[in-house]
Amino acid sequence: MAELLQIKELEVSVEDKKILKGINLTINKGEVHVVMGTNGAGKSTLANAIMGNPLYTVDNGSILFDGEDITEEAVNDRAKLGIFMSFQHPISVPGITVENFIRTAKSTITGENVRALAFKKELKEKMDQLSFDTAYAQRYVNEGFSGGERKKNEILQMSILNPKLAILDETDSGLDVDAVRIVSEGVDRFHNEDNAVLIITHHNQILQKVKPDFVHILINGKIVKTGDASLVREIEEKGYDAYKTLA
Amino acid sequence: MEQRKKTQIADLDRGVYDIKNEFEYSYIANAGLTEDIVREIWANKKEPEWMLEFRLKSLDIYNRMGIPNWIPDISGLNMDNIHTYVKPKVDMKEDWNEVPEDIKETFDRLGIPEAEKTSLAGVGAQYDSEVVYHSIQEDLVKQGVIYTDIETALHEHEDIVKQYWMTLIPPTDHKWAALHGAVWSGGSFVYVPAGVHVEIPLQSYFRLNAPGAGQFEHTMIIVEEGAKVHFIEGCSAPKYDVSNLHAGAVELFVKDHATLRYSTIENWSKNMYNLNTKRAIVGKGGTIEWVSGSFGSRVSCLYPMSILNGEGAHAEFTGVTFAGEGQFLDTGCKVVHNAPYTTSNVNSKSISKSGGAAVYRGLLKIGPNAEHAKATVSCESLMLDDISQSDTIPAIIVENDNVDLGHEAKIGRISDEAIFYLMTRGISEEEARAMLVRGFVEPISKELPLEYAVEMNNLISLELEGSIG
Amino acid sequence: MSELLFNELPRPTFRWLRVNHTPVSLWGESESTVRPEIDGKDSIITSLPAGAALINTNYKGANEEALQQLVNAGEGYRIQVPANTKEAVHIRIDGSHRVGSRFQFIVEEGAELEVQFYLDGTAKDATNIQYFDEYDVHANAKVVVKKVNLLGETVQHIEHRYTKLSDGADAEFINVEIGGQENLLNYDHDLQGEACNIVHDIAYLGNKEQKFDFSLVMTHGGKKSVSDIHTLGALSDKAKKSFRGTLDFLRGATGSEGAEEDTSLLLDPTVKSISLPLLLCKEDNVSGNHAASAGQIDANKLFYLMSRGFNEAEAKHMIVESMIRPIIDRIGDEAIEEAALAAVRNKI
Repeated sequence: MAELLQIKELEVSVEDKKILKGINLTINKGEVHVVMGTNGAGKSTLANAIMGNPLYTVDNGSILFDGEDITEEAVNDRAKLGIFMSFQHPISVPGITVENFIRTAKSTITGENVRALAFKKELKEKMDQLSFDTAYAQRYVNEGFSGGERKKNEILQMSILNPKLAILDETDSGLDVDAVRIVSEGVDRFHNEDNAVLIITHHNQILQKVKPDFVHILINGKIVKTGDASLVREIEEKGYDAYKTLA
Repeated sequence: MEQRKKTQIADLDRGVYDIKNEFEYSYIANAGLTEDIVREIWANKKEPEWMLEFRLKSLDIYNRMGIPNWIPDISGLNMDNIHTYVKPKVDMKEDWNEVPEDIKETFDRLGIPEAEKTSLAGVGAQYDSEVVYHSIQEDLVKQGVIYTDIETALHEHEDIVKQYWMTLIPPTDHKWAALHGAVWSGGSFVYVPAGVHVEIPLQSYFRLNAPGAGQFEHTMIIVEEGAKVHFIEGCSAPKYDVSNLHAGAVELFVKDHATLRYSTIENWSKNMYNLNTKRAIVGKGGTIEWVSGSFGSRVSCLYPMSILNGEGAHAEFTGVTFAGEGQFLDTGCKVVHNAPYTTSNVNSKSISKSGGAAVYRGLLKIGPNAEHAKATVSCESLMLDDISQSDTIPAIIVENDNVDLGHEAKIGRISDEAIFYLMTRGISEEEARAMLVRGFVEPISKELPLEYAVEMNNLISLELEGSIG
Repeated sequence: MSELLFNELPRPTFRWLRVNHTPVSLWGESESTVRPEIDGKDSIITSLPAGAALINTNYKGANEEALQQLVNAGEGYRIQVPANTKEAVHIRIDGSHRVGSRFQFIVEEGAELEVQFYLDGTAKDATNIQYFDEYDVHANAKVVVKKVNLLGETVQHIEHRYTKLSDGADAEFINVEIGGQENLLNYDHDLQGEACNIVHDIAYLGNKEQKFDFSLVMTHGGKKSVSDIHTLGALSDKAKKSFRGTLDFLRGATGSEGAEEDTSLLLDPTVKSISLPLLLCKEDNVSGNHAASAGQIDANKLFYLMSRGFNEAEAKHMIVESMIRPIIDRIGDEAIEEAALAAVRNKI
């Protein structure tokens, strides 16, 4: 089995406050992992730590990607290695169009000059798949976008940049049923034997389309239980309270 | 990202703008400013009698007026060392081939004749104090459009010029307006008859080559009722060690239901004191649109003013200012609403770095008669390091209740969050910064003619390039 | 009487606008001044002798000469709150005769002080009410100043206020300015300490020939200092308001944030509203925002209220009152709040 991501004894703090208190997690190619948990448990911190957000300090432990220790790696280098994060709250970038942005990112990550015409075609195709109005390609990144449009834009970027590991941080939160369906289908289309998906969520809408291989329950900075897809139903029925004593 | 390296470079290599020609001239006024010099300029230019009177009156006002207390430090400027008039060694041509080789090359390098071939309806080129080249498409001439240098206009259309001459910017307005009235030379004259739409832009390019010289061009544009025109002005000068002075005057008369777009890219060298005055008066249902880019000069004081005198008149100002090392760019705009249902939008962006200072200074005045006026102002300032300066000094005066007015301004730096977001997509920190700076000015650059937009992006890239130490 | 220039703009602008300062002649100078009443614990209040030094000797007040005269003229009060204690002081200023006074507040480390200024009354002839209140707020101390001005129409009202904030200090200033004929208010807040915080909210209501001339300066020197200015009010008849607000970020004030907002509701075509919201900045790692807006009552709001059966005048009253009310409600003294609301209802 090909190990893609290996997290060992990871401890992370934000502004001197310890959030993650020793996380161990291995994700292999072809797998879908889900991290669920209460608000403030550290789910987003885990995503940001894997992506390398400098606001999150790694106090202990290591992150290996494709066998290489990336704990100290800069965020853009992690992106080049094939890690992608779909943001919970994608920011707007005034003055840069969606097309220009993704094309620049694509050529930076691949190290190749991305040809304009071929790119336009791919972009249109991928936008159509996401029922994303192609006029948005010429709009500034997320400027004036609704919550759903921002999330679609994240999934659009994921499908074009084609990472090895996609981390989806609360991608399904705040979306209406149709948007969740479209976004989930996008994730499902993206997923294959050679890549992996890490879904962070606190409800299960997205999981109706994307079937997880592993489900982890994160409480108070620790993974307290790992199981298969059935764990999702268990949480649905019992809530998180039952697991709090495990933390 | 906490220890992010600061962006710092010495002076910018301004490429073609800095190539200077050998200093040749057919006539140069002595340095300094005296009545004799003013008389000499007048005599040399063979102007009508009333102009001498006007020049001398302006000189008198200039001598009696003080320097305003609010402008940036201009102590580096010594009028006794400035040559107010430098006549190039050539008379005005209408055939590009007749322009002397070195002057021609200068404008070639700046891309002027190329632009004429492809995207302009008319071109004027001023070299030091006089216009050396002027051309206009023939079909426009047939429609009665006049586009020529202001000297020719003074002789051939004296009645029009005299009627409007410095009525919008009287010499009593301020010290540099008075100076302009005394020693003005060169500039463009545009007259668009009623109902004529000039679909492609006219362009004037001002090049100051002589060291220690002043440039005092006068631009007068009259857009008659229902007419429409786009005028582009470009300015540059190579860098010398001595101070130069630019005190031009731009008077724009936009009649009822007429539209004028006035675009400027100012890229003077960093020894230039740019004390320029621009003003437009707009009639009923008329529109003035300013697009203004200020990059060069040591000191700039530039606040294009729109006077909305007719019901439903509209003003639009889009400006960007980029202040680097040693620069103090005090720019902005003034809008005066004098009639009902007038509207205005101001959108200003500034960037300061390497110790440069960018100031937005503005006025929005809504007079007692301007009922139902609507006005919005938005100013954004970007600081690229902690040794620079960025100030916003707006004045908002409202003298009537039936108005809808909003003003917003913010100052800050590029957010770490935005840099992080771009970096998660694989983009390096340097490129992320450059992209965000370009994105910051994008709403302005998209308003510029293409070649200027490209020029502006190149200037920004030059300023940021190699600057991560 | 010669004119003095009040509330000068820290960075002047176009002269022809005549907004760089406000020329003022002082009223009723021949009268002798009275020291106002102060109510608080005896042990914290002492007399401040004439000519006593200022907390910041560079502070120029609304006008330097006027402030100097006031400082030299007569006794004031010094209020010193010992470390880690909590005190309150009530000051009543009576506008029926000339007032000139000083209040120097020292709030020691970790202490809390609440000050209430209540100004009312009117004189038969034009009179001048002038005072200088200054605050030295030590580390982690807190000061809350609530001022209600219900002075009469014959009163020229001048206030000079200076505040110095040390590390972690906190200041909350609330003004309800309804009375007075000519109001010249100068507030200079010095955010010297790290992570100090200041909020200054002013509500005003002007009618007839009333003038409100506000100058507020927030000087951010300390790291992570936070300031917030909000002026809001309504003008009718020939009332005039000038707002000069400055956020000044000095080099080194990293992580600081400042905001200022000036909102004017204009109720008659003869009013005049001037707004000069300056942002001065020498530090990149800051966030500065300002906004100004002026206009008539929102037609949608008016429509909504009228659809509920109110006539236009009643609806307008409600809208003006609802704008100012949230600030009046923060005064926290029922009797004064009632008086302020009555004054508001009287005017609109």
